[in-house]
Amino acid sequence: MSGLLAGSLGFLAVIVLILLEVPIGLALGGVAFVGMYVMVGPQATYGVVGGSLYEFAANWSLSALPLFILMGAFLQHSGLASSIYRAARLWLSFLPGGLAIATNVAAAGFAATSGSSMATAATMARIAVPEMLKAGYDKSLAAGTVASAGTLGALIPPSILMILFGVLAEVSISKMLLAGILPGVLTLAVYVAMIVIRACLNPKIAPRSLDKEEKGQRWASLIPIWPLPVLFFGILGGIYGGFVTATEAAALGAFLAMLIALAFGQLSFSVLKNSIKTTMISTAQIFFVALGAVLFTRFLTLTGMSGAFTSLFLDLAVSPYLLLLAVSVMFIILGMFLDPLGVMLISIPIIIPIFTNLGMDLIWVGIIVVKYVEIGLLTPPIGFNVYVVKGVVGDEISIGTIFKGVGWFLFCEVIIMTIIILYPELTLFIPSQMN
Amino acid sequence: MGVILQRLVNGLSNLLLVGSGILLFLMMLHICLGAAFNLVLPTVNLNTLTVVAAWYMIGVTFLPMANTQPLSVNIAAGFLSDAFRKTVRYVVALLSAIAFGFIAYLTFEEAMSQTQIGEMWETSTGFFPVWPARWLLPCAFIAMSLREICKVFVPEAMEQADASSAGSD
Repeated sequence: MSGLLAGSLGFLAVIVLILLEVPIGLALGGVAFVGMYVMVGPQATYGVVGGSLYEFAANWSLSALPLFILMGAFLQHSGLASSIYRAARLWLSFLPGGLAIATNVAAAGFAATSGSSMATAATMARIAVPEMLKAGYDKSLAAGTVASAGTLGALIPPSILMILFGVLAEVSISKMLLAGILPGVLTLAVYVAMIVIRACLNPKIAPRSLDKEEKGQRWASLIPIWPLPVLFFGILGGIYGGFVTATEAAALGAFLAMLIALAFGQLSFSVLKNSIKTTMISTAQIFFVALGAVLFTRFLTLTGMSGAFTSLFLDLAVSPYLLLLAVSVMFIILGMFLDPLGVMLISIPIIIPIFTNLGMDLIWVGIIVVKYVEIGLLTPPIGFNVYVVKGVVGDEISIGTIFKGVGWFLFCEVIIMTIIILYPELTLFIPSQMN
Repeated sequence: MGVILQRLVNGLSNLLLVGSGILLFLMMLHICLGAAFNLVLPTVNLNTLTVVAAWYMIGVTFLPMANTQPLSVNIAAGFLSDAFRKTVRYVVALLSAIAFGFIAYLTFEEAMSQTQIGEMWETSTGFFPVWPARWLLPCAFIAMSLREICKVFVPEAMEQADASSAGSD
């Protein structure tokens, strides 16, 4: 069997297994094991499996991931999410579509602590959707806003997907995190502009809702959220100034978050225990998929599939933009059916060598990949964020209504992606200034 | 018998989870101390990079795995019958038990051979022993294998797993 055929069959087998609800990490690892066994025999396969698992985990850069998750867990258990939403609501409700805009801004703030798109969507759905429905907002706008706002979590640092991309593509994690800032702000700005325009054109979908009594509480609402900008700018400032590495920033962030919870009187033994427990469970779930992907990457390397694709694209001498277009289509299709982590991890071994050989900046490519993976969280039939929101709102809003609301944000994503692809300097400006 | 097996597996995976939690907490403190010493007393070397990569990260990565349900995609609901999905889950659990057991054996052999040669990493201050962390892998994979065996033979364990994976979605 030729390597290329083996690699293609491997891909097909992974997709079929995932559709059969086999855990993603197991599907990737299992196919890789069988594939390697067939190609190079038992002894080499055992050696690769035994060694790869340890080598992947024994990684200094990767340790940023559980530490950032721990930081988010401490802050979430201190009730920060509700405080961020309350402050955003009080300050932004005067705008057309103010509650939806507040949801987006609060999601961006919350994302800065959680690093996870689905966690952001689930948390904001619990807090913001009932408020918007109470204020008479259109159901599709309310639910669509929350599902889409979750995707800010993958861009606003710290982002779990970016850390994994950095580790697997062997690019600086610090630069990846900094590179997410401007595309994250751009995404937020385009979302807000779209909501304002829609609310102006059709005020019925987003009635204004703030009374005078609440206006007086604006300044007071900022008090409980002061740790957020301190932590966010402290971490990014430390990385940007070259004072700390991404891992050190993550450890300091987690430690400071713990101290903040203590200062607010929220750090009981139970909070400490639950924060660590949720961190360990999330970390294990992510690493399980990542370990499967590592084995699958080894298998693809053996098949020579990455090399074959690279040669094919280099022989065709395609323009980088045409290649990006092809990759975009691939990500959108894969994102319709697979979970974001799986999509990213199985595609990296194929696309990175191609982009590297074409001389494209991998930081910029990483941001594009993460953006596409996030768009996949919104596209039917399996928009994960849409199902997360559906799980929270229950029977009150149908899945069709949520997808309808998300459609407007997908239109925004076309604009955002066009800007990010046409102007790489937008992504690369901050990392290029890094000390 | 099934209840005893389930209790044993739950106890073992909880113990590993607690161990990984302690390692995570220590990792956070160690890195913070290392960063502080770098700024204030650069001559003091806590071997942070080596200890984090070769000790803490191995525990943090592998030890909690038996306590969590791997991410799967619940999209087949509606396309596939419940009976078929249930059968797939049992087959997957059985194959996973064999696979994790086999990986436990492979990592046990690797741990044994690294222990015999006293595996060390070279650091700026000398050589640092890392072989003990190799033993965390077989421990974790044995626990994962037992969890899958439990799912095959104890119906309550499969139901518990289903409920927990539905929650994680």
